[in-house]
Amino acid sequence: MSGNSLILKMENITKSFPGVKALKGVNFELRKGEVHALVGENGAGKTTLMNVLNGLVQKDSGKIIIDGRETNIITPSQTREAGISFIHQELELIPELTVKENMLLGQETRKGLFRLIDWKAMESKTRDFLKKLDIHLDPNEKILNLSIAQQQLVEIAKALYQNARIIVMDEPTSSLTDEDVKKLFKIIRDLKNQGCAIIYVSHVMDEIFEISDRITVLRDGMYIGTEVTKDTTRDKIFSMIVGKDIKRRYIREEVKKGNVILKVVGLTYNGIFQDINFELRAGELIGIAGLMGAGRTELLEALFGIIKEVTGEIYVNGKKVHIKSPESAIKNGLYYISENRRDKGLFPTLSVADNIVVSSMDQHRGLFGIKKSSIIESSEKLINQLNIKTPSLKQVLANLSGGNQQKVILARGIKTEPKIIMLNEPTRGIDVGTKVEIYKLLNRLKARGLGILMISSELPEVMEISDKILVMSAGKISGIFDNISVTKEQILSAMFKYVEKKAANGERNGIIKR
Amino acid sequence: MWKRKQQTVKEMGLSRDNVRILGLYIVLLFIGVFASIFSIYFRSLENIFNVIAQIVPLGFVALGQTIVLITAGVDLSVGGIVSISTAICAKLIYTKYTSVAIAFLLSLLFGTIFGYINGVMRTKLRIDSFIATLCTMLITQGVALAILPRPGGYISAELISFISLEKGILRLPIVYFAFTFLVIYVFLKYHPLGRYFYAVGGNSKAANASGLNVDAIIIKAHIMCSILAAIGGLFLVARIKSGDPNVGSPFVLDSIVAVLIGGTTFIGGKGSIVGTLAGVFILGIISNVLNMYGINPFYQYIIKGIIFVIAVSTYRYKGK
Repeated sequence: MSGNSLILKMENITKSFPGVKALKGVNFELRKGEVHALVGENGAGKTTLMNVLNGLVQKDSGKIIIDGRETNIITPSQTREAGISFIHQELELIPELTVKENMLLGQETRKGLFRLIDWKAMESKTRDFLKKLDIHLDPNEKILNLSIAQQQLVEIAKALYQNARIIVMDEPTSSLTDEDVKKLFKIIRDLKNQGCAIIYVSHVMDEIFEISDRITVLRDGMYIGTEVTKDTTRDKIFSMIVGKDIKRRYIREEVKKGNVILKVVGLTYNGIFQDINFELRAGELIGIAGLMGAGRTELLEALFGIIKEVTGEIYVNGKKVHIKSPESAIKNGLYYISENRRDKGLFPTLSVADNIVVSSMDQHRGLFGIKKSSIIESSEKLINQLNIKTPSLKQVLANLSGGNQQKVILARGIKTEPKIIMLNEPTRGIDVGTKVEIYKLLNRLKARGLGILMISSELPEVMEISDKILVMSAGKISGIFDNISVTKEQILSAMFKYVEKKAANGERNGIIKR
Repeated sequence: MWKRKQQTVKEMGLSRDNVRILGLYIVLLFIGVFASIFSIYFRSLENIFNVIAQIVPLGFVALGQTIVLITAGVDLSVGGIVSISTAICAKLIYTKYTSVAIAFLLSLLFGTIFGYINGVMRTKLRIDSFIATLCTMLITQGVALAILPRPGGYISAELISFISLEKGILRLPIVYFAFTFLVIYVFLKYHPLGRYFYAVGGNSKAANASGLNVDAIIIKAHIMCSILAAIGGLFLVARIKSGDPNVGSPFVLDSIVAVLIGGTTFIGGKGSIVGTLAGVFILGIISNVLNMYGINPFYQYIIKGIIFVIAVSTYRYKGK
């Protein structure tokens, strides 16, 4: 750490939203040249605190002191002037514009009499800067043509381009591959050496302990404490986050396996995945691992009828089925919970109850339309069962925390009474406590005789919750392992099994162009 | 090798959207060929220019409408603004050139004011642009009627020949329109404000977080749109040589339809005036041919509606 000079101090910050006290006197300080991790469960107030710093949310009281001077931040552009830049959790990019436009938005290079944009200069600037960061992207590509991982890299590059003294990274690695995370950490270390200070918001303990100098924990909008990373332990931080000790985080329960309920034979989707064969038994959870672009999401989308142009056979309970649409998939006992909760899963303006019953309205049909009482009854049951924290059934879903929203979506799936549940990154961006609850729930579903397919990019998660691990690599199955005997190295080598050739052609880092 | 080739294709600008616009122009060509077979109007260059000159007013209005749609808004008040322009000209223009200057400047001033009002309602009062401009649609309609309760007035062609002159194959309105088109094309592609329209329409939260003044950008888009509508009104006066407080009404739907045919969407963040131009031509030529054959206006509405559905359904709306 170079010097101990304070660069930012947030003192006694409070903020209330209608009905919620989001921040109750939070303190936070940042020194020059340090990486300061900010952790806490979802809803603990991390994002609100950072939004106060960004000027997106106005604080009710408290002080923000930058370089010893009290600063009143009201708009994002003032944050910029103060030398603070943000890598947002929800990607703040403009889909129809190119990489270079997004990176230089608001600071275009201009030339000539009419001060028009100098596209050539914009391109070369972007290209040089990306090269410096070792990010391989075409500056002329539109954002909407990029994968989520690539977009995240653009977001990072954009924040770094501001030449800020303070960089706030809110879950910067949530969709990056390990390789890209390594690169990001190298960039962070370089920035540190140059005297930048970094606020690192994350749920991933491995990353926090690898990269941070200090850790500040928030819980329920309160400041819990700040620890020096090298002098503390994970258990200590966990107990600060949760407020009580949790010994084991991941729990897999063995249940008696039943018959094969899902059998996939020779499933192929041109150019994306080929010749997929596997069997899923009742009471079994198969974790699907693979790099970004390995075809995992597409496989589940094909099984759920979202992608239709596939060949091959699908058997449910030994009976061959033709899945033409999500509706027919649900009729055949499958349910899919997608990766992108906000875009594909939520009805943010509808109530919790409506969100739960929307896929299974038929169950509540009475003589004269929908039977409200039965909706309330069964939603309440699921809310208790899944421990969904909501003030009432009528609460609008947008007001729930991310973890609780995810539980609502799970409840919706369970309510369709599926035989097979397919989950895509069900715990992304969710706090530790809720994660554990979701794992327990998956175990309970297994015990009820459901089969579960789960995509996860967190290898420890896959290894500790799955009965079997199916690894995909460049559209092919590169291994199906029994959880008890497999090692991390075996899974990793299977993940890279078929991508090596591509890597030699210059498409490295698991970033595979669509 | 392959990568290189792909890049040159990209450099030629042949993205999926551009392929679509190309398709639009091919459709336009077909319509042109059909029109020249079925209509005597389309058999000489002079007559073709006549038809084009006729659609210049709609062209101006649609250019402005494109800008507002790119910012994920819509402007229903353009028709009223067109009417105000014609009403002011009919009222103020007599035998002096100064009267022309005053009438024109006043029309543009009205356009600017209503554009500003639209923008402020949308940004500061957070009223959806559809509702906000629905209100100004009524207000502008009222203003036009207050200025000129009944159609009338006569504007001498000589006085306004600097915008309306038609001699040989020269059609001054077309020249003005072509120039404006080029300026706006360059503006949307090479001027930061032009790019900000796309940015704000594509993701206003991201634009705000990037330090852009979103409200100011949206207000400017509405001012540009209304000024272009007012100019459209002036070129309409140059054609009809009198004022009419209701003459602008069809421009609301026609401009929106032309813009949507051209590939600009209600979602915002994308679109081009090259597409809009094709949309304006297609609409203009079709109504010209229908008029030629004396088709009842009622059926014309039906035919336009069907064309609109066909055009728009060939787009795949990519939701956010």
